[in-house]
Amino acid sequence: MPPNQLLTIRNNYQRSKQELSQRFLQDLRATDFLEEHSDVVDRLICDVVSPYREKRTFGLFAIGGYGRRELYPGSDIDILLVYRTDGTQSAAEGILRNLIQDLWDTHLDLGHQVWSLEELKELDLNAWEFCLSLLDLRPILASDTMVEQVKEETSAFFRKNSRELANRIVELTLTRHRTFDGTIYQLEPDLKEAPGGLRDYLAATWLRNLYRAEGRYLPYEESKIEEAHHFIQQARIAVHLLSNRKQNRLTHALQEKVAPLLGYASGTASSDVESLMKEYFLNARIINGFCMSLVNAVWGDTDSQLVLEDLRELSSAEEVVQLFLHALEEGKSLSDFLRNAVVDSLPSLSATIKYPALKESLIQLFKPRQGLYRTLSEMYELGILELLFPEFASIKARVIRDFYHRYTVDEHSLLTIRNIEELEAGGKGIDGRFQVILRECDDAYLLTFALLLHDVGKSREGKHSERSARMAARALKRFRLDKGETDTILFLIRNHLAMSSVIQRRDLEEESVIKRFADLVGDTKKLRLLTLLTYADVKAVAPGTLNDWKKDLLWQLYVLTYRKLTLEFGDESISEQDISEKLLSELDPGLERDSFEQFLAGFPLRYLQNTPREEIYEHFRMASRLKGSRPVQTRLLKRRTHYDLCVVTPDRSRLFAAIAGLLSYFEMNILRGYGFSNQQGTILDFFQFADVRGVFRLNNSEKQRFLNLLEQAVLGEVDVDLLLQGKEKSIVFQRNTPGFEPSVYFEDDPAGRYTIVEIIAPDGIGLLYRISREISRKQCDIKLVLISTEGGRAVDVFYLSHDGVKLSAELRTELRAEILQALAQEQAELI
Amino acid sequence: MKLIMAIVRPSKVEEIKDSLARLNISGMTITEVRGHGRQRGHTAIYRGKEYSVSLLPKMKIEIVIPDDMVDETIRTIIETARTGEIGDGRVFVLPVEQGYNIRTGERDVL
Repeated sequence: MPPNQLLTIRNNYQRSKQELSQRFLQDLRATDFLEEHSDVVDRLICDVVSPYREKRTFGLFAIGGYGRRELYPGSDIDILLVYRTDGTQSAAEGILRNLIQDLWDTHLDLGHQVWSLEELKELDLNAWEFCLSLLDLRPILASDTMVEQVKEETSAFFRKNSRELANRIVELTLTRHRTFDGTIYQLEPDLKEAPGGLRDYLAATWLRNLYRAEGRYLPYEESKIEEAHHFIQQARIAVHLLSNRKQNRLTHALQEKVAPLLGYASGTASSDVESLMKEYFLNARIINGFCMSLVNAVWGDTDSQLVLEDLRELSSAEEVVQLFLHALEEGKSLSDFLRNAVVDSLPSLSATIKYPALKESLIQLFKPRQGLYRTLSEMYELGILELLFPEFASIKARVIRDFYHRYTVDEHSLLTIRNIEELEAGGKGIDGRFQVILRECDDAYLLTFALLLHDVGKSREGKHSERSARMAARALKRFRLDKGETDTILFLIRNHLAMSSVIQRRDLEEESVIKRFADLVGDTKKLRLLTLLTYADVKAVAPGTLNDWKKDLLWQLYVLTYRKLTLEFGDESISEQDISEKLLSELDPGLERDSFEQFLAGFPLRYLQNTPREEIYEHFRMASRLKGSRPVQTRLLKRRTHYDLCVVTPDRSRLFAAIAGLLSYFEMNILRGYGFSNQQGTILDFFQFADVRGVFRLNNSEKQRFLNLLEQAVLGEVDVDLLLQGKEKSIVFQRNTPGFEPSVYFEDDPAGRYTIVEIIAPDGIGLLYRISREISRKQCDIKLVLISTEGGRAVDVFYLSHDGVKLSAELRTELRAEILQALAQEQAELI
Repeated sequence: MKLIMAIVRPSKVEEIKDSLARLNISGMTITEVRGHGRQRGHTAIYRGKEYSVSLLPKMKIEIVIPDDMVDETIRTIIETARTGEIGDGRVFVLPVEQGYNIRTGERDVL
């Protein structure tokens, strides 16, 4: 075909596509867009192909999405060319070669298959991708005889292999789900591949056609399924148009652009995205439910379903709760028949429900044990959970856009219950320490009440613990729970963030911190329940959130508080002198007594009391070596969950910042840092960090390079600023979540010697370095830094003093301004 | 237009090709090359004798892309090619002034 003719065809196509896109942005009718787009491509292909069809040696068919007339703006266009083998083969091959070249020159994203009619007779299930695409075969240019022949071959194949093909679809679906951790809850969902996406819909439709699953229970009405499908289609078209290519992931950045485009533009950008994503998850649940009901129909394991043949109807809420309790005890889910019975009974139940009568059944049901999550999820899916706890409806598919919580609020709440259930069941990967706590709880059902309702107050913006407690109080009153039970549940809900806050932001080695927390909890029963609740809550944020480090801290707080509550341990006062004398009396014979005594003088009690004796001796040895040529000594030890770094040096300004900066440069995840100094001016700085990227594990030489650079950085021979620039300027380390305004809070510690500074800022490489550099510039001493990251949000807590006392009001104001300026500068440089 | 030149581990080429295809990048040139970076080669033993292998086998991937895709392409290559061990390779970005299709004689309009 002459180039100018091809150019005209190409331009016409682009124009038509442009018009269709404009129309879609006006009316948002996804089906119209997809079908008309596919018609436009049909016409283009006809224009290009017609001149080659004089001899009718081949036929052209659309397959895959194009075959379904479901053509997205950036989708591949898959075609099948079929030729006859009756003596015209070589002629056909020559024609097809030229034809395909012309089609390529139209710049369509074309995928083509060329088969002879003979070959189609030998279709093989091993080429499953091709076989599946044939399910949507549609003739574009082909003689009637050829259409008939091709349809005959493919239909015969599908008839013969329907069972195997259905099995293959199920296998593929489950494998695909596994790559997404088997959950629809994705922060940046793939609209096509993720569970609840378009492929789920397609798989379900294919299964329905291949494997006649009539009379099956469908979790949703057909019209709901179609609406949900339409929503996901709209979103995918929008994402393709906005990114101008075959992009299926609804990324954070695209969410902000898609929300107004699909009509979610009533509030702030963030709340609009939350509304969009809520709608997405609601619809993805429907599509996923539709798909899984057909997957189960093909691979259904009827043994795992509860069947009660004599059941006629369910006339009271009590019967329904008993039914679920029975299913839970049998370790089964409801059969299709029972599910239908529950759904049918729902309208009459809400009119006659007597809450107090359900109390005992609920207490029995809520006892943590295997299957509880599944039963509660099933109750939720069928509308029973909301009937019992209308409060739960307010968090249905609620999305909180903090780039941290992976799940919607309702699913998160249910997952917390699964975490307790797993703890109860034991097995691989379960932390035995927390299992012991659970075993010691006689009334763990209280925990289920608290977990179910702990976040119901998240239906609105702002602090939610108190609101959740108020809403829960109403719910518990309805069931007439005892006062003691109610008080415990409400205490747990009201304080469900307390332990996380203490372990992430307070110094557990400070006696006053433990005392204050013990006073809040009051008794060991509540302490156990609150510890378990915290464990379950943090674990249900996202996979990996409850790492070993956090588990250790939570355990440490539990143990310290337990001892405080039971033994009043640690109230006797010990002085620095007592400990120094003890250390001297048992002195390692290899160490010199006088120098050791001088070394100890001036270190705070905290160091002397909490550091193992051997460690103190080792620090002394390191300090003794400082007099040599290099006035810096380092030691790096690998622990189970992290690395321990110790740096000993004579007093140097910006030491802390230099170490923090260098650790960032090596991409270490800094967990905490603390420092001590003695009268001689020897500084001991400690850092605990995790090598999440495996830099040291994978590269032996990097550990030595780190220690060399560290020495040079501490001595000011290496410019840490310069080192970090290469990382900061790299797109690899740029945030993919939107930034926010950093904030700085001050608070005095209860003992009054330090000022606690809490800085919340968008996480980024070198953040701790920038902050500690400003702190050093103001000549503040850093006693302790606690670092935690929640999604894209870093929380750095510094314990600071200035000239040995807490920070003055004036210094606080200056420091706040300097820190905010340094962070704003970082933002500006990144842009 | 930019030319992205990536020097990567041979074992990573297929994976990189797949992830670039997801960005709709399908045209590329791949060459077997030898070289070394900071890793400076290693020592191999051949028939009982130690040999210093100073030039290691790598693959060079070259692709030409529009300017607005540079960041995403680099990010994709790095995310895919990175194992965390020394010797993961390099990515360079070069400006391209013009591009032509030889068969059709068309000039790239990007």
